Amino acid sequence: MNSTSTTPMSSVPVQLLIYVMGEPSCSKQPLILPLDRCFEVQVGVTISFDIYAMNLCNPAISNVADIVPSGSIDGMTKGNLTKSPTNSSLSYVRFTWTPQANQVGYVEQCTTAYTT
Amino acid sequence: MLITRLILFYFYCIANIHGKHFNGGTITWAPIDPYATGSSVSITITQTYYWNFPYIKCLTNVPVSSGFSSSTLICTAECSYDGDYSTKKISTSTDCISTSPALSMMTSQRSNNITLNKDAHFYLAYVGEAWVPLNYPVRRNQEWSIVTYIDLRVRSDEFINTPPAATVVSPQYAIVNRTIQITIPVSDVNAGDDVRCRWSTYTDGYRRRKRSGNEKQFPIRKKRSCAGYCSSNCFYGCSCSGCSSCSGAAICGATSTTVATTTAATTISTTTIETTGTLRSTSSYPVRQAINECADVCYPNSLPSGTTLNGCTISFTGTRANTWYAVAIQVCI
Repeated sequence: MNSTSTTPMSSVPVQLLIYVMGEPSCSKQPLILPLDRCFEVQVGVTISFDIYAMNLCNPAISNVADIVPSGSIDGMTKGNLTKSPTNSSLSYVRFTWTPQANQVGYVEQCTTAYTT
Repeated sequence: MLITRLILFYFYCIANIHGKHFNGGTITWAPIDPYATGSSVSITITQTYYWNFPYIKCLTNVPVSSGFSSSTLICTAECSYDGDYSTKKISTSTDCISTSPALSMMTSQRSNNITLNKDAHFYLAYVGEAWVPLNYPVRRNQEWSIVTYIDLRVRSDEFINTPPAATVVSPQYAIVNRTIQITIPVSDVNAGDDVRCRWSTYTDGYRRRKRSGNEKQFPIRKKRSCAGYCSSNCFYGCSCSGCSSCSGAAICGATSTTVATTTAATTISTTTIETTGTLRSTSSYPVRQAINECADVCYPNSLPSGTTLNGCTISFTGTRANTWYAVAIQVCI
């Protein structure tokens, strides 16, 4: 439970793939904005939020391919990648979630933006 | 925390991985009422898997709905304390929850509720094949084994533990000859719990001659602990000599946190045998069954030399472009 505990209580597996690829044609990473902080949500209350990624490469060479959450928070759904109608270098994905009583606590969500 | 990562996607790699389908995953569980005091405890077991899309289709009952056979989560060790799991096995079928066609990736998940006898503690696994072709030289039809340890005994602070949650996207992308750090995002609803990560391991079981009638008389084995199972570093002052239960002493050795190139090369050349379609059996009359947390993707053979795990962060350098590697880690408290 703390730094001195030796009592095991659970072990959860995480298995993933790593793909080694060649040098990309544009190595400017897309910017993710604006959610990068903890925000409070209430059990039973549905929330939606958008995560945006901005493409910094020449769109003829490279574009945002997808915005992907790492793993999934139970019950959270992810919309499709959508181009911003007002700024062609911006794309976003809408996430919708209704937290349940057994999810009370600190829940972390990481998101990765990929370019082609 | 938000991570930005750049990838360049090669379309020929889609063709490359066609035919093999498993991209990783996680199995976790949680008591529905951590303060339950009856003779049985209800828990939710959540399976999350990543698949090669669209080879595995975005439907319910993944991967059965794409023509693969169904299976169940199986108890692999401490099965005499499985709290009656064997009479109510859970299917490994999951339901598609999201796809990313651009990344050739599909995520499926399902939560099952199950009621077990109180004080159950056992290892539960999803075993199958095959991973996408891995490593260089390439290894095909690699088996997977993904194991969670369930322990419903009441903690010393008087409730049933909820294990940490750990999620990471699979696949992750690395650019050739550049070192990347991949941090496994972990969280724990039990405030103050100290979450740790270690490499998944294969722990040998042992056998005895069969004596009829008392096959269930398992001796109480020493419990595994994260403190005993060091990752690449010994955690929190856990001295390496104290890591007696590390399956390979090398995992704990301060000088062995990276894999010597020569060792890795030797090992790779001797382990390129392709597995057959039949999964390896466990021993016939085990006193304690082997605990196979990683099957064909155990560290260090499964990864390039120099790969390390520090806390819950993997440091990885790939020197061969267009190569896949599988990472198997246990997150525990």
